[in-house]
Parts: sequence; C-alpha cells; structure tokens
Amino acid sequence: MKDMSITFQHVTRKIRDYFRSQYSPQTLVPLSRLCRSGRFTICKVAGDRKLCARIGALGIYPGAQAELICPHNGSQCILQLHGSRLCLDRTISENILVSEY
Amino acid sequence: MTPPLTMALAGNPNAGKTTLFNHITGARQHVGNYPGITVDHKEGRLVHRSQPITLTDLPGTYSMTAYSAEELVARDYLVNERPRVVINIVDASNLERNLYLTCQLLELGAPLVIALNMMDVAKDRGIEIHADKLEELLQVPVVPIIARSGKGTEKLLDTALQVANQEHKWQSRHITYSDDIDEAIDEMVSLIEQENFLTDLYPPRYTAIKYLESDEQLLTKGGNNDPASSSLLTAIVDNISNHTLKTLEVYPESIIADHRYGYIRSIVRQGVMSQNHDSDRLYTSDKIDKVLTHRLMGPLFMFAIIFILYQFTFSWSELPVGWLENFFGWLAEVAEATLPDGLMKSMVISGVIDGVGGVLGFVPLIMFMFFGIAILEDSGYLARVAFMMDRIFRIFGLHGSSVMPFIVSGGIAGGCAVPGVMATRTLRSPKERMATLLTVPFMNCGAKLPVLALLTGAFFSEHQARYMFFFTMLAWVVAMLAAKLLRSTVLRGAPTPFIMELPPYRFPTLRGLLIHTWERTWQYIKKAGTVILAISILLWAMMTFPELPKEQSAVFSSERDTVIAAYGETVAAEVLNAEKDNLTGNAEQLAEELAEIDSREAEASLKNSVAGRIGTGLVGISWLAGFDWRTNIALVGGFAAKEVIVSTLGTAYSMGEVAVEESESLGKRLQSDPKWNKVSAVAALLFIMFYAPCFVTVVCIAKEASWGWAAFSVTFNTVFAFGLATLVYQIGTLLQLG
Repeated sequence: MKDMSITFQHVTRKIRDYFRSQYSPQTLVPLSRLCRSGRFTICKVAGDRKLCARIGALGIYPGAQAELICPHNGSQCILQLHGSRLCLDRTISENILVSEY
Repeated sequence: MTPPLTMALAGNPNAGKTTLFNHITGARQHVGNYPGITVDHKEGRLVHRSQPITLTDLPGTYSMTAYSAEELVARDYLVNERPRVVINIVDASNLERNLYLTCQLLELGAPLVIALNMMDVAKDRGIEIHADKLEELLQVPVVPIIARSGKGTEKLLDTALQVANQEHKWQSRHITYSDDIDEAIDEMVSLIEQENFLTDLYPPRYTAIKYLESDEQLLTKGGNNDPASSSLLTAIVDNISNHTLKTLEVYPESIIADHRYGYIRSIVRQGVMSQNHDSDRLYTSDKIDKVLTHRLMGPLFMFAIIFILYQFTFSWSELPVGWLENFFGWLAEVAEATLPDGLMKSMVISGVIDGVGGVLGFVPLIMFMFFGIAILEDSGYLARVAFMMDRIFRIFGLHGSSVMPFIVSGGIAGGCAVPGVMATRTLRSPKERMATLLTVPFMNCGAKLPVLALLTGAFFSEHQARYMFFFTMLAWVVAMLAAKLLRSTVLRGAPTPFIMELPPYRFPTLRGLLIHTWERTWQYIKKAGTVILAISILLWAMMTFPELPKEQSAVFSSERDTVIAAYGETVAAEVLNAEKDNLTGNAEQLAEELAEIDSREAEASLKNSVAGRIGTGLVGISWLAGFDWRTNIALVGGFAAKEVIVSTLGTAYSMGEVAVEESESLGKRLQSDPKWNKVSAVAALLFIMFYAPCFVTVVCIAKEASWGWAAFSVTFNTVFAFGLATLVYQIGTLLQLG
C-alpha cells in the first residue's frame, strides 16, 4: 500500500509539474522534475562541492544552456550540452535547478 | 644515434585518440567506443623523417583537475615527464567540449599541437571548421586529420616535430576569470613566485587556479611541500570562495568553468565554426537513443541484442570448431601410429596435442564472440548498456560505470577478468570500486567459455545456445547478489552519483573490427601456445610421475601372464597379431580381459602420481558436489588458468581410458563416463564459474586493492562456489534429475 501511495504521489507530482511548466515557464525546477524534452537554462547547481566542480568541468554550471533529450525514465536522463550528450542520475539532476525556455 | 623525442597524445574519451595512436605507431591496441577504456598510458615508437619518436597515449580525460584516476595519470605524466610536444586530439564534431581540455593544457603551459579529428563527421553534420582561424586565435598549430583513414597524420607529425625542435618554456596561458577571481589569482601568483612554491612542477598561475578549483592532489602536494605558503594560499581561496558564495551562490570552480567555456565560445564564434543548419537539431544518434534507451523498449532491445550475439557466436562457429576438433584428432592418430611407445609418445599425445588442441579447438568460437563484442563497443552501444544498467546496478550498491568492468570481464561471455579488474580504476567511489573488483571474476571470461561450451555441448547439446545464455545471466545474478552482500556488510556506504558522456553511434569500420577481433583472439592463442602448453606438460608430468612402484607393476604383469596362460599361446598370438575387429570368440574375450587389466593399471598409475594424490586427497570433500579425482585435478589446474580445465580433463581421460580412441572428442568421453551426468555437469559448471579466480586475476586484485582482499576473493569465491555446487548436486541427485 505504501509503495502504491508513493507511486501515486509521484504521478500526481509529474502531472502538476507538467502543467506548471506550461503556464509559468520561468519557474525554477530541479532537472529531475522536467518531464518532457526541450531546452532549458541551468540556474543553480547545489550539493557537494567536489561534484559541482566535476560537473562544472563537463559544462554543467549556472548560466549554461542545454537540451533535455531523454527525460527521466526511472533514474537517469540524457542532456545535450556543448555539442555532446551527457547522462546523469537522479542524485545529480535533483541538485540542478533549471528554468525552461 | 639521435635520442628519441618524447611526444604525448592527450584528448577527451572517444575523440579518436587510440585510433590515431594505432595509426601512427602501428601498435595494435584495443579501441573502445565508451569512456575510460585506456586506463594506463601506452607507449609506441616510430621514426618520422629519420627522427625516432616515443609517443605516449594518455588516458582520455575531460579536464586536468584531479577528479579521476585518469586525470591524475595524464597530468602526472605531463608534469613529471615533460614531453617535448603534446598532441591534443580534438573532435571537430564536438568542438566546444573538447576545447575545454585544450584550455587546461594551455594553462599548464604544455607545448601543444592540435589534431582536429573527425573532420568528416563534422562535415556530415553540416559543421565547417576553419582550422587556420582556430590556429590564429589559439596561437597553437592546428592540423585537420581523419584518424580512421590516416588522412593528415603525416602533416601532423611534421608539425609536431617542428614544435618539438623549438625551445619551449612551460608558461601558463592567460584566461580571464572575472575581476574578483583574477585579482585573487594575481595575489596568489606573486606569493607563489616569491616563495618558489611548487614552481619546479607547475607554472605559478596554474597552481593558483588549481588551488581555486580545490584540486585535492595539488592541495596535498602543496601542504606537504610548504605548509606555511599553502595555508596562505588557502586563506586567499577561502576569502574569495566566501565572496562568490555570498554574491553569486557558487564556488570559484563553477565561475572558472563558466569562463573557460566562455573563452571557448568567444573563439568558436569568431569565424572558427560555421553551421550549415540548425545547431540544436537532433542527430540520427539521438533519434536512435530515443528507442534504444527507452525505459521499456531499451532493456528489451538490450537483451535481444545480447541473445543475437550468442546465437551468432554458437551457430556460426560450429563448423570451424568441428574442423579443428577433427584436425587435432587426426594429429593424435598420426602421433599414435608413428611415434615409438614410451614416455615421449605419451607426452606428445596427452600433454601437447590433447592439451593445446583442447584449447585451440575453441579459437573459432572465441573469434566469433569477440567480433560481436567489437561491433557493440565500436558502435557506441556498450555505453548505452552502462547508462541503462545504472538503474539496476544502483539497487545492488554498484555504479552504472561498473558495467564496463563486468562486460570486459565476461558479462557478455568472452572477456577476461584481468582487464576487467584493471578497468575498475575508472570508478571514483572506493567502496563501489572494491565491490566491482571482487565480483567481476564471477563473470564468464573467455577462458571459462571452452569449459562451458564443452559441458553444455556434451550434456545439453540440443539447446546449447540457450544454456550458455542462461549461464551468462546466472553469472550476472550471482555477481549482483554477491555485490549487494558485500555492499551491505564489509563495504557499507552511500552510492556515488552517475555521470557520463554518451558517444554518438558510429558505424564500426571493418578494419577496426577485424583488428580488435584478431588482437583478442591472438592473445588467447598466445596464452594457449605458451602458458597453457607449459602447464599442460607440467600437468602431464604431475600425472605421470612418480611411476607405479615395480612391485605393483609386477602384480599387473603376473595377472596378465595368468590370463594369457589360461587361454593358451595360440589365442595370445592372435590377440597380438590380428586386427581388433577380426578376433575370434576366445581371442576377443582375452583382449577384453587384458584391456580391463590395462585400464586398472593406468588408473592405479594416475592415482599414484602427484596429481592423482592431490585429486584423491580432495575426494574426501569433493564427493559432496559430485567431483571425482579427475575433476579435482582439472579444477586445481584451473587455478593457473581456467582454459587448463579442458586440457587437463583431456589429458586425464586419454591416460585413464586406454581403450578410448584418441580422436574421440572430450565431450563424448565425458558422456560415456558413468560418473558424469546432467546434474554433475551443472554442479561442475557452477563450481567452475564461481570458484577462485585464476592466479593472474588474483595478482591483479592484490595490486589494485591488497593481498588481504586477494586472499578474501580466493576464499570467499571457492567456499561460495562449492556450497552452490554441493546444493545443486545433492538436490539434483535426490530428485534423480541426472
């Protein structure tokens, strides 16, 4: 029952996020909550300093623009960034706050 | 003679570095299409325009900050060895990302030549790069090349020689990082110059930037070298970090990365690159990814692809495997007919032909398997497998990157645990790395394949491919469960985040595929021809000496004499002179009785030998899993190398059953042995799959971790495998499944 309730909450959150992003495109959302492909700007990278530095070297830093190619399908997503494709897991994408175009 | 010039090859993973290295040096090294295949740097020698050159292939890296073992290896090499020129290979179809490393090489002050690779791919994507403009703006020679075909490599070497022959001082390139950070850098540089802080290794500006980027290795080195100056520098860094956090909510390293990419953009947009169509469009590669990495369809495609690989390997290789088996059978017959009786004949047939033939007979199978794997690697699909597997690996406390060591070790059967263990270096988290390191030997490596193929072929021949697929999947399940067990007990800890670049799908070149297939197959043959031959002969000696004591031999001789006397001289003469099939009633009976005595003598001889004594000694325990003394000898030999199991079984059976024709395949011999049935075959298979890794892997584990972990691996795996084999054998026998 607990699992079902978590799944239900997850689905309702996804639907809410989807409509929210439709009507208020400038809202900052974690990358992990973007549920459709499209372009976005990275606004803030939170979390562990070493991780921020490492993903910064790969081009994920505030101000960078990217495109979500494959939204989260469980735990990872694929981005197009600086001409290459990066895949990230939820631990990282939860810490990346973005605004959609 | 002119001393060789040292050159290094640096670049991002998948930029075509290893392809270029192979092309220039002729050294045959494996090229994978996923990040991190080259962990150690590799050296090759060449002569260009009468100048000997030593070229080092550095591991693929995205930056020069110590975030991973590869980056450490690459930077340490550049700093300590100071090559005369660094060839920075840059993927023209992915210019911005690749120039990030170039920026750092320029900041390190290395004498640089840029090899602008994959110009053809860039052109296909509608990207036009103006190399001359890039050269002018970066003030570094830029040579467009196509590493796959070798186009432009001559000019690249000419330019590299030109740069190498110039006197060059390692001086940091100046990139602006905003007023606040530049001010801090200036302050740090003057302190570094004043105190000569690490100036023998790095340019002062480089040290300052790495302090700001909080580079662990440099901070430790600085702290050990000059603690007072190091703490002064750290204080400046803390000050500016607090400032950037307060004003911009970011650490200095993010601002530095932003400005580096800004610097690159400013260069690229000054007419270096022109795009003929929309830069944001999705390429074919992305469209394929939408299907192949889909949540539901992706794993289905993955399993289907792996299964097709199996069908391809086992169905297509059947014919050449049969040819080789026949060839070695014929060779044994020839040796039997031509060589004089004695120890030499026994050694040639039982040690050399049976031993090496047993292993070489599987070469076509391994060749087909490697060809399939090379297609997956070179097309870029293996990286997608890593991406998809992260979801599952995370459940077992591993990392998506763990899939590479697992696949290399034999996740798609046919790899080797030795490079698999080495490939774990790409993992950042020590605990996930250790769990991967200890569980990769569970995979079905290329050496276990012949044993698996032999036993499944002998006892489950009607569905061999299906059984092989099942055993590969089983290896995965057991490895995952063992990893979970380790991560929940001795290696407990939080998971490390997963991030990796997905290379675009590429059509593998036939030349590349054939080179990779041949390289791996040749390694296998070389191993079979040297180590395995030596081990086969050693095992033959272990199985032959000490010979049966004279008193015991005399007992068998007198038994023979008694039997012959009972039948009479005439019948005995017929047995000696006539063909086996043409014997009359009495003679046939005598021949059978003599053969029975010979067989008992051979068995007594083998039991008396060193190997027999070890095997017999272990029977006290091994009967629980259904292993007789012959299997025990083979399993002990398997610790040297798993391939030896097949050759040892071959030797043991051809020596023990003298009546068996030499050309009869080992599988058939096992089928005809009453001690072998489906249950004992499965028990033996399970034990072979999961028991102690071969000694080369054990040494590698010891080198990568410690001898304690290596000993743990041997003990844990053997106990676990024996428990599993015993369970299967006992239950199977109880249910009469054999």
